[in-house]
Amino acid sequence: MIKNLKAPFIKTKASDHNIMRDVLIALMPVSVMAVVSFGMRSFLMLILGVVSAVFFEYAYQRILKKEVTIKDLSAAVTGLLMGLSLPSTAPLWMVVFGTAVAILLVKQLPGGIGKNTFNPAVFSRVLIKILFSPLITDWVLPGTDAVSTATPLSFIGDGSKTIPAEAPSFYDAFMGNIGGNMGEMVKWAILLGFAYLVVRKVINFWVPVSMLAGLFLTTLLFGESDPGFALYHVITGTAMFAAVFMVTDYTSGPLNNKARIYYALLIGILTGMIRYSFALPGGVGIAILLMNLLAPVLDGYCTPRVFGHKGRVIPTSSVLRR
Amino acid sequence: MDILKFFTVRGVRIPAHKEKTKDLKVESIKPSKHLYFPMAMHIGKPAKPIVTIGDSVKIGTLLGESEGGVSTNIHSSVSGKVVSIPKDESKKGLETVIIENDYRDDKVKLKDLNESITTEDFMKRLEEAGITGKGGAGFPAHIKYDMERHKSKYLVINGSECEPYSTADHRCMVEYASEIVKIIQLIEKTYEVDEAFIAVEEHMTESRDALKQALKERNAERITLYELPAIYPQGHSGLQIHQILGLEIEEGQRSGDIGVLQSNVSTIKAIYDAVFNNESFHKRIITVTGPMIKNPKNVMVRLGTQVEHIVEACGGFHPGVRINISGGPMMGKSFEDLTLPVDKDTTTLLYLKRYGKEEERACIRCAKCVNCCPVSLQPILISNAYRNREYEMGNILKSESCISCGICTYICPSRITLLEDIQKLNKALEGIEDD
Repeated sequence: MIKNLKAPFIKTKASDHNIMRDVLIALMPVSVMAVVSFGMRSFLMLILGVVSAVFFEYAYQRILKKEVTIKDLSAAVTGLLMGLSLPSTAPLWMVVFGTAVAILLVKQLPGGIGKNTFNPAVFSRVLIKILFSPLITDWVLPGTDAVSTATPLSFIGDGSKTIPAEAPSFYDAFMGNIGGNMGEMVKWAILLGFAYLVVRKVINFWVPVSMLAGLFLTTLLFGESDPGFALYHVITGTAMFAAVFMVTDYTSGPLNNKARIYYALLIGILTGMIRYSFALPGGVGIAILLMNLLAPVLDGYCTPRVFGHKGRVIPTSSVLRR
Repeated sequence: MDILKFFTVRGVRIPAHKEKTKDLKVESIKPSKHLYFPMAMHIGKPAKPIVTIGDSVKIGTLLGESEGGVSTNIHSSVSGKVVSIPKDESKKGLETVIIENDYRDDKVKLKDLNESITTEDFMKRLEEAGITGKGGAGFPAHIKYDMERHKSKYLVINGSECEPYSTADHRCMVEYASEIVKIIQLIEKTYEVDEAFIAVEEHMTESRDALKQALKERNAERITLYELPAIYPQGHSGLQIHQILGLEIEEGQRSGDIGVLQSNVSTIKAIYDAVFNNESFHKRIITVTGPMIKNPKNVMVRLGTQVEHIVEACGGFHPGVRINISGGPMMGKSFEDLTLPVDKDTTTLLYLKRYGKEEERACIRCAKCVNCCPVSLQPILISNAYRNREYEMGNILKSESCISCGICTYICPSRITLLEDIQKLNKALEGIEDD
């Protein structure tokens, strides 16, 4: 008969599958707006991202005779994020290249879900930028006639202290009437996804807020205390999209809440510094990857004090292990 | 709103499932023909049987005598005859006194106490009456009240039944509010405590209102009703003291060491019966509930009643595969044998539907276990240490401070058996220390 049944006898309804499904749902507003802005081609890119990511995970696990885990939907999330972090003008093969790097190299090679040090989509996106820069900086405005434009970031990075007059307005930046990667443009759609993830308790409200606060404060410092300039930094580029969907990634970030807040804050600060110091608008990605490496250090530093104990001992080897 | 709190609240809101029984009056069920009294109805040393086969007993007749130290008396809960005293060799020769009920319900009472009661009298009375903590741990109450008698500054009465499904303490407070307040006033006076608290859970409004009313009627201004948020595990003694008084019990200390005397409301009711009615501990309120039982109820049962008799009184089971649990769904114990008798620790009999086991999957580092652990452990790190056989990491990660509340296993979206791993690691650590 039934033996060795142990408490607790009830389990929460939330499962890894549900969490990833919630992330996919939260990505729907930005995905829909990407398709509305750029038409069928962007739709094709997003689908290609999801399908290729799932395929790579399936193929890798089948070939190496591992348990196939595509049902947890994490590969689909990575694929969609990959698609959304490219501009609509990027060549289709680049989507496939991106998911291959993300899934095979970054995620599966260290051992699959939960084992990767770097955020797969971010690592892949930064690599693409380094390798193929001219091909993916062909920014266009929303609409089918593909009017070339510059991203707002090109006006405010690299040592700028004020917003030049020719930069897009706050309103355009918020509504997505600018150039940029597909997912990052429509800010209200990102906020919708953010709200959904917070309500579903998938992410901690304060993590994205801390990241943006870090960016705001750093750029406020560089912008000679002009809050408008700092706010413009927050709502342009990939900052908001990354704050909600990349910085909150479970695997590549720290574990405990306190460490997660510091981690997000530091990503924000680093992003501001990179944007200011280099002619490198994609500072968010590099900031995230750097902090991915430092996540275990933060976890160690923020080890909670156990109830009833006076001091705490930092479990070094435990936080380093994935 | 919890979700906007800077650091998420430690502990978890778990669906309470109390609505089926929380408004049901406690029913007395007719005792069965035979009652079973294992001589270990509590934590510590078993009692020694002092009756022999053929003896006539009454309600309150001493069946087993405390062996001294951590042990307690066991009394008959019915009148009748001792029919046998078998030894169970599988349980270290534990003896069980079996009594045949004659349904006359004759009683023997304890002696009247003096008008002005001293801590000595009080402690003696608890020992005579065989009272143990009724919250589930079953620690003999006289030892606790003896240890803390000189240093108690605060009295905390635990009425927060944080386990889902259980409503026994809740009904006890609703139906015996006045008695509870009366005995708290007595303890307060006898032990000269500075402040007394009754902790109740915020959503259990009926018990809160009943106590409020009783406090008013008895002019008990010095007793504070403290509403705890309905976050599991607020019923845990140490966490509750921390919440109410801001005092933290250090590892290796007891609540008495920081001047707190703490009891569960059901224990308090038993103490009332012992002090004011001269009754020994022989019956208790139990919630019989869960989706598999036909008529969920709160019942007053005599100790020694077999579970199957209670199930019968509650209409039997729905068909289907079932898990039988003694206690709540978070910390209870599963059992197979329905002939098990109700003992001093039984709070709830829960019958859940049994589903197939969900396969465990890889950790996704969501860290819900880390951020919800009520004592700030990092369950996933402890689990990893156990699975990698790095047992000594258990000391660094303080795995021995686990209160076994089960939140980590409950909340894990990948269904990792975190609590089980922590307990296994602690066992392994004990083994290392023993060698």
